[in-house]
Amino acid sequence: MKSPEEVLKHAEELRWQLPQNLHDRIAESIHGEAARIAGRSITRRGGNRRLAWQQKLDRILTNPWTAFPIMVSVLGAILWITIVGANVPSAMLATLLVDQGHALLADWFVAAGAPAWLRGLVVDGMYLATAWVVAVMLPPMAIFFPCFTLLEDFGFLPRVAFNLDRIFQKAGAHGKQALTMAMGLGCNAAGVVATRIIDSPRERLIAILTNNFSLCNGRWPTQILMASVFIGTLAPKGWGSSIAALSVLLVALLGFGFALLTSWMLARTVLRGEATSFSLELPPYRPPNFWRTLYNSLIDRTLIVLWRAVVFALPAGAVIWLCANIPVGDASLAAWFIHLTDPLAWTMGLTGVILLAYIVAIPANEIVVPTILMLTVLVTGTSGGEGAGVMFEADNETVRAILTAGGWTTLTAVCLMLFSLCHNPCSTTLYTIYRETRSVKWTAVSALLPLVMGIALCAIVAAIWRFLA
Amino acid sequence: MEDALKHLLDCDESGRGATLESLAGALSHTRKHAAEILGQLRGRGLAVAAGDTHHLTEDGRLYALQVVRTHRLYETWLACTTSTPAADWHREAHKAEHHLQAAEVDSMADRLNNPRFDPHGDPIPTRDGRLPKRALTSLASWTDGIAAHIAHIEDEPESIFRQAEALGFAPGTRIDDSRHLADGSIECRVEGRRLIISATVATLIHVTGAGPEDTEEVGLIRLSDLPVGGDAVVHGLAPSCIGPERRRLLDLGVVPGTRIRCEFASPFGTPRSYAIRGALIALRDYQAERILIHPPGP
Repeated sequence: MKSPEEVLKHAEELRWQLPQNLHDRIAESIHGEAARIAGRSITRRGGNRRLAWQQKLDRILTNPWTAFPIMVSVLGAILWITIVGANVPSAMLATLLVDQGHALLADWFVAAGAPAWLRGLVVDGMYLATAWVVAVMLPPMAIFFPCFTLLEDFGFLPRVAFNLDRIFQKAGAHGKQALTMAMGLGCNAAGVVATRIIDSPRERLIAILTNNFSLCNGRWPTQILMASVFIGTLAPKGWGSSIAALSVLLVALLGFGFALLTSWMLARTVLRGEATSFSLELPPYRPPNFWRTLYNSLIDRTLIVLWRAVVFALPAGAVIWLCANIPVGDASLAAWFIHLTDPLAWTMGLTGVILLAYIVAIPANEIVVPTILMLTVLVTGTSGGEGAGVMFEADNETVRAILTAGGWTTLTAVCLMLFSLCHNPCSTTLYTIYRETRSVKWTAVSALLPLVMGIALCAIVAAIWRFLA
Repeated sequence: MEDALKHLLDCDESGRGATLESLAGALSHTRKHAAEILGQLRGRGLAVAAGDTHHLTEDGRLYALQVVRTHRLYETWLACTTSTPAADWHREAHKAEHHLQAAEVDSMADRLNNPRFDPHGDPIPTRDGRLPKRALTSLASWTDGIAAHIAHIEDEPESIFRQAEALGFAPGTRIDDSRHLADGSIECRVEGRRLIISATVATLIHVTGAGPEDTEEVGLIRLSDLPVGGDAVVHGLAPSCIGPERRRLLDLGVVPGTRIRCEFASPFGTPRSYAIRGALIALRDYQAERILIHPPGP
């Protein structure tokens, strides 16, 4: 009979004699046994071979010659449907909410005998900003996201991730990031939510932090306006719109490049040690359930994102109106700020007006252009505006006249396009990033990283431009 | 000071005495600085001098073992739960060993199920300060033609360790058909591929003989070498596949006996898609390299 101590000692000695990879072997045999039990008790209908037409489709969609033309044309088609399809409802919403709604609400306030400052704050500030965001944001999102979800359900999107994975692997990221970035073209907040499809923690974080480099639909209008008003007019007659479209495309591609570059940097520095494991399932193709998809993507993506945008747009509208209307000394708060930041903005090729517009428009990129126009009119005193603190839009010629009066050059437009691509995400997106990562640190990184990059980029471009000019 | 203790432990274990010069060399400090540290150790009763050489006291030995335990456990933790590159394990652990408390180390060991070996194959000292000795042979002096298992890979110098790691070596990797070449390098078969291990890398690798129970599986190849359209049966995962990566593959059903078929490749050649248990799974090249399979029958 051995004493307990002896038994323990003996066990301890034996422990060291076991093979080194014992744990792995046990885990492996448990998994193997589970698979054997499952194999014995489950009978499958039909063969194990995949259906012939699915195999054929897979071969076409992943063939080096056909894969890329198909992917590019599908993305192009979705963007085209979104832009063309959203035009009409967007214009209707703008007429309804911005033109008629604004006038109607203003009349009511006058009829009720409300003081001018209250009418300005609530109607010109809060209501107008929110109406603007809804009119610009809702129609494209209601078209873009259902299209996307249909493709996802059909099984096309996983193949896109599969085809592009190699590029993202080089950058230390996951092929599915291609999908979340494409989603970001609709809305960055939705793109950030979509990173849930990436189950490896490191790659998911990379996808979240770089989603902002996808030009969202709140920024497309800024890009298109700048391109057509300033860059398109440089081109010879008849080529204007093509050159403008090309320059917007170039900015979008630049965003794609920045996303890869930032992913690469993040994967090699701060995120080096985060856990990672690649996996990507290619589900069988199946006809999507049209109505359920439509309902889900409207509720899950469009309405939730829209609601958050509205919540953030209300206070922003108030701030914009207050900036333009609170006098400090002999000028408004906005005028003081613009005057003070003009030198700094000059080194970035921008103007103080743009900086202020970006600060007050943190909640939503949609209102950047209306705010810029309103502030420029306010500062230069040119006619054409709707009054201090009232945002407005105008046709291209008027915009050009107003902005040129504000001291704008082609350089300003180019730098604004770059800064619009490369600046902190809107507050809806930031809030979403916080919700998804639960980390103040990563939220701060996602805000500061593109901002610092944007400031540096604009400053470099402006310096080179002025050196050459 | 922890580094000095480790050096004294090394010297005591190997039977050569630590001298002032060897310590100064190990710490890459001046002799004066090394002498100061030795003085501190003697003052705390952790080391004694015997003529020219210095040795640890029993207290000093326990303390040094605790430091080693922290270092090796931390390396294991990095390997099993994070995706820190293997080449960084040593440096990260070297930083951590100075500030981790004994209680933290013990709870880390509990969470990892009290591992016995670190990812380099070094034994981890137990809680009560026991460190078993093992008889290992360097691969450089291993007899030609006898199957061997890698038991330990030295992690310093880092540049050479990187080479070993790039070859996909890990403790447990089996080496067959080894043959010394004229320049001291070794030609051998590892996981279905013929490799040449340079003489410098071979000195970092320590091996033991293959046990009687594991006979060589003839004709194993790696999944990444399976042509598109080929059928195969999974033999197992390579020992170098660890941490989250290994768990993920097991969860997908990549276990011994699973039938696997390479369906098609992406336009860039990697990833490739494999039919596993009725699902179509995309795996990158580096993952498929670590899955050993029985090639398709004739």
